[in-house]
Amino acid sequence: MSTELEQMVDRTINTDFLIIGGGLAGCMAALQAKRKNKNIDVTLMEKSSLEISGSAIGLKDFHIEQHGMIEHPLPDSFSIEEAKKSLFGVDRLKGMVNARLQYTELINWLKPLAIMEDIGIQIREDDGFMKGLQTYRKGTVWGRTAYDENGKPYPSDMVLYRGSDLKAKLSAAVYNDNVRVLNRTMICNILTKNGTAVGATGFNMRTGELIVINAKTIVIASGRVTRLYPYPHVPYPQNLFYSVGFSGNSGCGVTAALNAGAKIHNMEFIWMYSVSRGSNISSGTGGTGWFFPLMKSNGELLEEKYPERNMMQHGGNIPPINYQYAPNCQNPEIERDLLTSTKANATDDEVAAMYFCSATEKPRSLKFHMMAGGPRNERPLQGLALCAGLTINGIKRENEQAETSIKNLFAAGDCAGHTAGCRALTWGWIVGDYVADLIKDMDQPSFGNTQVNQIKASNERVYSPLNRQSSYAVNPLELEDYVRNLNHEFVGVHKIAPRLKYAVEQIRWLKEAAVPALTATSYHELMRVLEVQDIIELSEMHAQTSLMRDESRMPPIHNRDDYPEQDSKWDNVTIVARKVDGKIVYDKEPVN
Amino acid sequence: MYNIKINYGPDINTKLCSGCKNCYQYCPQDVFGWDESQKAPTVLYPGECDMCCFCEIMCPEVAIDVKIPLHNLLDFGIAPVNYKKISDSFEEKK
Repeated sequence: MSTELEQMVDRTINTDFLIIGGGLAGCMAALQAKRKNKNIDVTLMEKSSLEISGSAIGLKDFHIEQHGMIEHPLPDSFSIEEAKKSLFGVDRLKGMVNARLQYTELINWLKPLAIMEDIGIQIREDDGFMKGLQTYRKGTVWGRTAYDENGKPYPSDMVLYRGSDLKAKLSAAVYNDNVRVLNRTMICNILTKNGTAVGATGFNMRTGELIVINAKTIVIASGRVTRLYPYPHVPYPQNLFYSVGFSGNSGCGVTAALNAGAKIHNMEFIWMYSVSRGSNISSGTGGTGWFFPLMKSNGELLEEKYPERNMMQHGGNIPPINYQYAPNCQNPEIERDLLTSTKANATDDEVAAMYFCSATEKPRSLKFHMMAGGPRNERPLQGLALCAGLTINGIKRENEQAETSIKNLFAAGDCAGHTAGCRALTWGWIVGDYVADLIKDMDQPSFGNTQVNQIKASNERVYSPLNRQSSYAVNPLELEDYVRNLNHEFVGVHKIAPRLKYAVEQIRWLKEAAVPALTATSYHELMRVLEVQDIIELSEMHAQTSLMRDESRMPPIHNRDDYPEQDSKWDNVTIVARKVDGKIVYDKEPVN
Repeated sequence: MYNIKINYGPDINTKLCSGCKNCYQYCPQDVFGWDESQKAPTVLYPGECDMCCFCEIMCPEVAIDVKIPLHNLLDFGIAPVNYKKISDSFEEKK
């Protein structure tokens, strides 16, 4: 390494397999790679602290699911055509996910269970059986237990397990397998060489170190793009972080892939904040749509009034009310009424299920219920959800090994969102399994001038805002608040061309007008400065792709008020964004 | 530090705190700082607290109470006039 580089870089690490993000996907990738080849050198970069990180800390780490798959084991005749029909399959997601990947996911979806059981997560009940839950009833309601006319429960497509300590045990197993863990380290750049990923730079928000990692293979397993919209019911700055998953998810893995030249797709189908007032929709806290029925002001229960209007029709993963029953863009009757979720008459089973789920979420779920006097004593929550999202956006996978358009760069988990609900454990397993074999015949890549220049650029990008002298010091949180409100007001649920154009122009202008004046006074604040730049890039892609797709598809996920119908010219077409010479360019590509 | 007055987030009872660093080590949002001279945590970025409350359960001395912002209390139906620390309200009211 040149002297110049030595001065810039605090630490250099050589590794076989670099994992960016230590959530479910990242941990599972590490564990499976180590199980297949214990000599593999694995490095895991985690923005938070591995023990408590990833969206699994906030939501639903009590089940592994594959909606609509009710037959285990899968029959020998199982095919891509069959896979398409699953609840979150290609057919129901209006052709926006790849059928081959869908199939890969389905045939592998139970494999992580073996590792989870091996590291001590309680998958089975005391009698040795697994507990299943069916996620739909006659094709309608998701989540709650349902019975057929004979009082028999429907077959399950979800394995429920006791996952309250899931993340703790996964992280303990990762440490136990001698994985090198870099906590509090945020991805800055992916280093590439002739279209192949050869390493990455990371920034430690505690020590301020710039770490360079030379890696044979890399998987981006970072979080979902969640910070594009504000939580609208609380003031700044609480509106930026009141989140159901890991609140640090800024989409930095996605932008790192973008900046390295990888393809990002489906950005018009974005996660938006999904909330009921007073709580976001984590299953325990909100409860709405999960365990307790939603009622109109005249006493009608929504699920009885609209038995077919739910995600079966629209696709998606989280079912807050106006998503599940009637997107507000399609049913003003609901938008103009007061919807409440009342728990006063909840059955013992429903209350128990709610506590079961609360216990696997952020501790605040239980705390809220306790403070409110227990679910049956709670005042009815106003069930006003803004809109939910889909996790089909993110880094585009090109093949069944989850490789991106950059060689040796893989993507797993929420950042690569595939079907709704990203199957983080499954894709982590797939990548770990593949990489363990792949690296055997590979040499450690060498860095040349191009890579040194990439590291220089990284160094410049990271540190220049520190104690920057500018006539107006832009606060990263304030800028983030501005951008997210811009998305809320000008992109949002009711998309129309003139507003979208304004959003795109304004976001592009921000890059020149505000970003160069971003200022931080500590390493922690530098991390927020990096995040807001990611959020701006992602917002541009979100607004621009929303503008390009002149149709509505799976509303309210992508609802164009000026083009309310689905248009067949967009069938099987995904909009792909990538960076060329510092500018984002957009192309249309077939999904399959 | 960002120049915003925040009245929510972790509230550390310094009398109970043993300086084990759990909160500083595990906070997903990096809200805490560490005061080496006092061997005690500080709350550096309360505005970035998302009230996940992991620090409460990771603290072996039960020295942390995460204060919930008013908007959340009111929307969730928790009366501020009856506000108690979580340790006081563990029993569900019958």
